[in-house]
Formats: sequence, structure tokens, C-alpha cells
Amino acid sequence: METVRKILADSLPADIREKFLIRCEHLVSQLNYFDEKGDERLRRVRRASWTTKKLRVLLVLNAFYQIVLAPLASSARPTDDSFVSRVDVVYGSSFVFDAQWRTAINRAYNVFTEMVFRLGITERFLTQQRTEDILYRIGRTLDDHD
Amino acid sequence: MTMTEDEWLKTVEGMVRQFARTHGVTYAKTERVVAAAFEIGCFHSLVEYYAQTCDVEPENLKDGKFKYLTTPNGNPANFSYVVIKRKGREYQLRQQVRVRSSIHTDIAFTPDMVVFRTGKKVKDHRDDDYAKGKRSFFYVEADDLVSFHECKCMNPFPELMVSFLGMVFAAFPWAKEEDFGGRIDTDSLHLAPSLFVGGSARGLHLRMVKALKVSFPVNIILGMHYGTWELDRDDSDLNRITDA
Repeated sequence: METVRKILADSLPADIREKFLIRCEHLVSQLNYFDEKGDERLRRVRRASWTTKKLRVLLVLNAFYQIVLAPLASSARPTDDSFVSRVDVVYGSSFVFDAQWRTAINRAYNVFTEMVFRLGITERFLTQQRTEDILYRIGRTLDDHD
Repeated sequence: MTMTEDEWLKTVEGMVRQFARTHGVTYAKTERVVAAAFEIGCFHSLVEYYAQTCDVEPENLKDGKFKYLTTPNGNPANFSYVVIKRKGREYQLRQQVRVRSSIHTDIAFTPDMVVFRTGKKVKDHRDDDYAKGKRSFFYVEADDLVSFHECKCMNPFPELMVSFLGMVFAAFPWAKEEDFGGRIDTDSLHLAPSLFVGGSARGLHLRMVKALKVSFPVNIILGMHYGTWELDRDDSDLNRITDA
């Protein structure tokens, strides 16, 4: 977990890095709590090869998705029905949301979600708010396979 | 073949390293830009919603670009906005325009997006208690508003949702009336004041979202980070209000 967290954290500006790290810490603390009390949901997902180390990585990826990638990508959703896909948006003096931006962030989003999918992580795991929600989602996946 | 834990961890480290190397220049943005991106995503979503049933066009473009007002201190006349036309009626969708309450003129706040009937004005005046009277205080009267919307790039929590009600009550005296002044209209074009939230919810928080929607003239729209986008889809079941 530490390596993945560090790679992602080091690639971020200071203010957003802090938010990312706080969410990582929050999610992992919840996992540690469930671990200490021998939570049944945790025991169950572990039996399906979701070890503590792997879950910690998943939590880091969830934090990155929610704090960084998903909000950025929300500015570039595909659209057909209005002017928003053809007119660039100038936000303050610092940023332009234009076609180049939309292409780049959509590519990053798609690469990330395809990457985590190859690791057995669905987008549903990334969009959950709390560690227990993530465990619940993994559990639902196992139910589907039973 | 299933990977061992060590193989899985090595694989993810390699993938993430490659991802950061290739795409870091795209996603390494400050908190302000990330929040702006989310707000623009919500703005796009609302524009798309109106575009399903209305003529929707940008106005006051600068060099062909939509100049987004990012702070209530800016003069709205210098920024772009959206004009919404339907059946002879015309509305404006603007960002970051201050709203002055009709309950007391000293109560003013700035939602992320406002909708009002064209012909109603963004007013301005100078006040010694604002920038020492050197800059104009821009605002729209709450009575002139059709609706307003707020964007929060975070996970939902009870206090966030309840505090949104404060904005609604401060702006609209009818929101405290028993039948909300007869404003709720399922056939109306306009969404009731809506809180767009990035994250999702489960369990009690989800029940609270539903309870707020049936108890007050508001919408709490969750999951804006990833999938809610289509505001007019059949299962969205959002509150709508008249423009009376």
C-alpha cells in the first residue's frame, strides 16, 4: 500500500495531496478497526483472496479516484445535446476546459478504470464512500459468483 | 491463472507507476482546479437537462469561449451565461451570482448556479461596508429567482444536506409554507433547488436524502462523480418547481 500511495501522492500538488492522504488514512483506519474486531464481512472477503494488503491498496485507489480523478473527469463527460462539448470554458485566469483537456482527462480516466479492472477492481468499488461500503460491494460480487 | 498476493502487489505497483508517469501531467491539478472541474461537470449536467426540452445557447462568449464567472466579486456583465428558451419563455442560467434574500436585504449568499427569468436584472450598488464602497455589490433579488443549485465535490453527510436547507429558507419564504406556496409542480421545467454532491451514499444517509426530498422543496443529487448525470431519467424522480 505504501508504495502505491507514495507514487500517487508524489504526483500531486500539495493541497490535493493532503486531501488524498487524509482519505487514505481514514479508509485504512476503518479497515484496521474492522480487522481488530474480527468483522465477519472482512473475514468473508479475505476468504475470496482479498487480503489485508490488497484491500489497503484498493482503499488507496478508491481515495485517488474520489479525490482526484472522478471530479476532474466530471468536467469532460461526453455530451451530444448542447453546446457544452463544442465551446471551451475558461475558468478564471488559470484553466481552460477545452477539447484537448477533455481528451486528456477522459484518456486518463479510461486507462485508470481499465487498469484497476485487470486487478479485479470494479468501478463500483471505487465509488463507495466508506470502507464498510467497499466490503459490502465486494461481498455482493462474491454473492453473484456463489 | 490467479496471481499470488505478491504478484498482485508487484503488478499494481508497476501499473500505477506507469499510470502516474503517463497521465500525471493531466491529473496533477490543485484543489481549486479539481473543485472547478466538478462544478463545471454539474453545470454541464444542468445544461444537458434543459437541452432535452428547450433551446439552450451560450451568451456573451469571449473570443468564442465561455468565460465562467468564478466569484461573486466579478461583474456578471463581463462573463458568459446560458439562455434557455421554451414556449415563449426565456431564462438565464448563471454561475456565482449573489442572491439577496427577500426576508431581509442584509441576508445575501452566493449559490454556484442560479436560474432566473430573462428580464430580471442582476443589480448592483455600492455599500460602504463592502470593499469600502469602491466596488459594486452585484446581486439578484431572491424574488426574481426561479431556482438555484449548489455543487459539493465531496461525500454526502447529514450536516451538509441540512445546511443546504438554510440557503433555501433564506432565499425563499414560500419554502416554509405548508404546501411550499404551491410551487411544487411535477410538470414544470425547472428543478427545485438542488444540491449536487460528488460522492454516493448507502443506508441511513440514503434514507435521509429521500426524506429531505419528500419533506422540503429540494433535491439532493448524489453520485455526480460517476453516473447520475442524466437528470431527466425516469428513475431520478426529482422535485420540480414552477417559475411563478
